[in-house]
Amino acid sequence: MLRNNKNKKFLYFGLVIFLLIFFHYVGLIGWLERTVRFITLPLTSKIYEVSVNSQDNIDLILNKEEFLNNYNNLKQENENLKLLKSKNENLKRDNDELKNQLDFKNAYDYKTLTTEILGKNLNGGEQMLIIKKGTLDNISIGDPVVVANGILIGQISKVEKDISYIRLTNDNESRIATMILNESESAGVVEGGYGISLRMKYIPRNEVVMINDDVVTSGVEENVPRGLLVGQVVAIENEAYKPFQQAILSPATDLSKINIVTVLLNYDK
Amino acid sequence: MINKIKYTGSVLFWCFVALSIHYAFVYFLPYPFTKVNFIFLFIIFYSIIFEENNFFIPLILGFVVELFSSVPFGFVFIPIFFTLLVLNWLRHNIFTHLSFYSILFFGIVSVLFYKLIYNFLIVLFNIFNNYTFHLNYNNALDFIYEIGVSLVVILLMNIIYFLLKNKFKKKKIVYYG
Repeated sequence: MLRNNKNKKFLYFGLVIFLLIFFHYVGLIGWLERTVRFITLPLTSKIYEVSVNSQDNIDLILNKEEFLNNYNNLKQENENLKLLKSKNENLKRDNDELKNQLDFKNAYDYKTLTTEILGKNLNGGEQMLIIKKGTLDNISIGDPVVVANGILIGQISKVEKDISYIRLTNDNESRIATMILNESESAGVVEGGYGISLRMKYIPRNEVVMINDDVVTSGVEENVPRGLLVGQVVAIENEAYKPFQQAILSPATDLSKINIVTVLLNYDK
Repeated sequence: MINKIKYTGSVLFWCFVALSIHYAFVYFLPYPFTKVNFIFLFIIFYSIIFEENNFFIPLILGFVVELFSSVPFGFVFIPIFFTLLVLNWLRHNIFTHLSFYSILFFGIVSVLFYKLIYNFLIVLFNIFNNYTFHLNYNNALDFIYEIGVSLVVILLMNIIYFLLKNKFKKKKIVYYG
């Protein structure tokens, strides 16, 4: 009797799940989804903001030695920068004028959309961020997402009516066609899935890659324009028995501290 | 009526607790702990311990995760449902007695089963949508990583549960004479 009752409960549970999935795809529970999102999104957004702000404190606790080394290095760098400051004053004026003319949005001939990050993907295992813009704002799958003046942080991987998901470059499903800014402009593919670092694969063995070389998008891929900065080479693996060499990259920006992003909409080469 | 309010309150309370801890894992902990799917582990643990088959908690938590998940709707619910089904069968046919080791065993089986169904659905989705599917050493390593950290969390939950259980256990008073 008791077992029958439990089996019935399982049956009802399965039925409810089936109905929820069915109603979702038919569009009957859109109001419920919007309500839950309306309630949870402000909270998620706030938690994300706090997590980004507290990242430095967490770093300090986890890597105290590294943090102090960085601090001392920055202190030294700061002194050097003060010396350069006076020289830079003149250059700055020229630069400001040029900046006005060469604004990022105008430099490239495509539409952009700047928006705030709402939070992270709740389904563990993937490096994703959520933005509160979707198909209504012309976002589509594959659109590249950048920060600052053209640092690629990922691509749109899922779009709904009012929210979208950005697959970060360090996610293990992320693959981006790139090239190294060296003499031979070595081409390769940048993959994520190595914690906070990236790995560039399929670089021809005979090409010279140096540490600190910048890696940018090659423009071979659909939707992604050429020249978006992805990262810098921090280590090279070139082994005699392998046909290609690999480079380990450090992302050009800290992917755990992103607040505002720009989506390049429907880029067409 | 009061019992119903109490019951709803407790369901919402546990959902809130699970979501808060999940957010703490995803947002504040460093890699690879961000990979812990605490909500799923909580659902499993709750189903094992309180064997009343309370499906409101998996439904509410599953729905929230579905709304903030990059995979198509249903890819979280389906593995949860089948995992709970398998767990229920194991609970009534294999390990009928709850002990530290049996809970650990349930946890391991559940995580493996969930991940297998989830990945199977992802592979199917990729095949039917002509997306490229990457099955390489890196993905396998990631999978093992995720299962490993999940097991650590299950172990911790188990230890905490048994510590609390022993602490609040009513002591028997035996009168002689």
